[in-house]
Amino acid sequence: MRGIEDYVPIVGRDEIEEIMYLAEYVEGAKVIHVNSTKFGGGVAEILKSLIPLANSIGLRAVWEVMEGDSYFFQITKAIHNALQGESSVELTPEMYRHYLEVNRINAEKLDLEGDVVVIHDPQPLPLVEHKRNGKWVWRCHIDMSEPNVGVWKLLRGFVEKYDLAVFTMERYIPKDFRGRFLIEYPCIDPLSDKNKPLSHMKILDVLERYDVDPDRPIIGQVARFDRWKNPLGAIKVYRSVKKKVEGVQLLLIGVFAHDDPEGEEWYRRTLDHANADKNIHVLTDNDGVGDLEVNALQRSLTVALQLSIREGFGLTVTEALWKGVPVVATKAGGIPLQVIDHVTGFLVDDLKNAAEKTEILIRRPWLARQFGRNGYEHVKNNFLITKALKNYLRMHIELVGLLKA
Amino acid sequence: MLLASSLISSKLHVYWDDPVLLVLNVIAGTGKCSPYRLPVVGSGLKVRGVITGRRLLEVLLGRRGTALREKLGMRGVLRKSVGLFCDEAHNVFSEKTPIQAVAQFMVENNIGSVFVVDETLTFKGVIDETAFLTKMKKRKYDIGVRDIMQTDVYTVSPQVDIFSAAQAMLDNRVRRLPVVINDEVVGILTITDILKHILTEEKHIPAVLEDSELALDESVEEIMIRDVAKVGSETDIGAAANQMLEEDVSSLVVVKDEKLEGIISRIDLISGLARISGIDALTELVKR
Repeated sequence: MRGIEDYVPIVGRDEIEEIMYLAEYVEGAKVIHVNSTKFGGGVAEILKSLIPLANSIGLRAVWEVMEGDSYFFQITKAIHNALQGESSVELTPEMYRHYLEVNRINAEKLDLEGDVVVIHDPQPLPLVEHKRNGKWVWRCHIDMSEPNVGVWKLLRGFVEKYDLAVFTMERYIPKDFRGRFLIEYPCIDPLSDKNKPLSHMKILDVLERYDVDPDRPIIGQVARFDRWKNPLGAIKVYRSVKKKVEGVQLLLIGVFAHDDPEGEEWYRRTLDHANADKNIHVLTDNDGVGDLEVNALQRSLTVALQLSIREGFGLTVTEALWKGVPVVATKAGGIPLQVIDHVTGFLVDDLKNAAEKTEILIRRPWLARQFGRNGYEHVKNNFLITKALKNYLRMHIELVGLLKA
Repeated sequence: MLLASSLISSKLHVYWDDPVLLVLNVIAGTGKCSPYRLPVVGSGLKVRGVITGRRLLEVLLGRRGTALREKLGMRGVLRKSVGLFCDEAHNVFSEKTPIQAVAQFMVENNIGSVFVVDETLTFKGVIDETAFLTKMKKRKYDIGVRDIMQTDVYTVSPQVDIFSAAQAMLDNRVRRLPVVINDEVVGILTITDILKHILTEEKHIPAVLEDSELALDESVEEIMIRDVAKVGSETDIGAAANQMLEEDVSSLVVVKDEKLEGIISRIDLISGLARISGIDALTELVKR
């Protein structure tokens, strides 16, 4: 189990001392995090690292995962899409009733007795109706700048019952939201299985396992199979690049999150679109791709793609940059904070441009290396988990500071 | 290639363990365009965060630091380290970063400043909009203020009490409110004005130094700036940049026959130029 001291060589002793200073203010606080999946997606990724770290500095952090049937997750996926701006979504009274009912059942089963209860994303949002004690936080990881008006109207009352809301970026907050809020950028854990340094032998071993040729250029996107992540766009880019760069290979790597009913459908669509091209590798957890494998495959990339149409923050971009891989990406969500055009990668407006920029990087390894070094430095300066941990501690200080005083 | 280090416009910073009250004095300092946003550094001048006027106003109005205030009172909170209240900085760049990258980062994300560090992550200075406006001001762009101004502007009436105006600014997440009577602009109120007022008005000092309640019940017209920096919507953005620098203000109110049409901030000018003429136009400008 990692502890805070393990991060000293990466971020320095001073930063760790500041973390310990902040932690003293909330020592012993019991914090319960609730989300809807243990695997897949940025939220599970963050919690996996954050919770052991929080425990190593004196908090008592617990992670609860809500349960629901497939109908519930269809509803919550629709809500997710609606809050991200899909105007065609309609929540029928029956859907809404089921959404509330599943939350009611979970409220009975889950441990919600903490000094601080952090509810992640819309799936468990109505749990606040069953709040008994403690301070409650809604952590919203999605872009709600232009939510579907009808759905937002139904859910807004729940959000306003929380003591605090936490958003990824200020521009993601709905214009009419008036509650207390904090901003917390997501960050990556440099010591997790997904990001820790790997030997060349390990990388080669993984490539061999998935029949990827290490001697030919590899481009790839790590993302859920989801319309917003645009996996079909990645295939289009690959096909265009292939005309100019012989032997290029495409990796599309995703994990099936338990709370994402559309994943299977989009996985199939992606496979259909790949049309059994031997140089397209569509890999998921069902193929044995875990964190270490994602790490190795990301490190093997000549160029990483992130062609999302909508994006929360884009932690997979952060991961690629940390590994010194240049990124060609759209300007969605938090991507422009990370991909700085002509410095850490290329920002593109369309798939044609993405293909052109990918070719440039494949053909000029010196440029790709330079971008890679810049990307690593940018993440080190701005997006490592120790920063997230400090903001996390400030959130607790805000709610239950000097708990023992 | 022009590097970030060549565009540093300020080295002002506060320390992580500085008390909030001291930081309040720095941010509510002199000049119409006070340092609304300050880097917070730790030992060895390592960048540790960012503190803004808004955060300080939140603390003073009891919207931030609530748990600590219950235990320590306002007096105790204001004597605590600013490190408890600042935000992490996610805008830190090496001094060797090309200036085009800094410009791109600022305009793509609408972020008004970046913090520059050396290879040991030691703070070297801040690049803010001033660096770009200084280069912009001497030219004509054939881009009118109307093309890039914000038209969805929150306003306040002069009779409203300062407390309500401050709450409105925090609720709507803006740092300035034009003061209007029937759409006619009669003044402007900024977060910095409110902070200055709290620090200097005798009746509010007990709230800061002791634990008495901060009332802020006087009206906006008592503290608003009457000499508002205004501009017509036809004005070229080069002239607007010049005016902002000359008048040392962070925004211009756009008016037609004294009626409010919009507002334009420093970052709006830079982002607007990049949006209409392309990021290269901005970076070419800086190279000159």
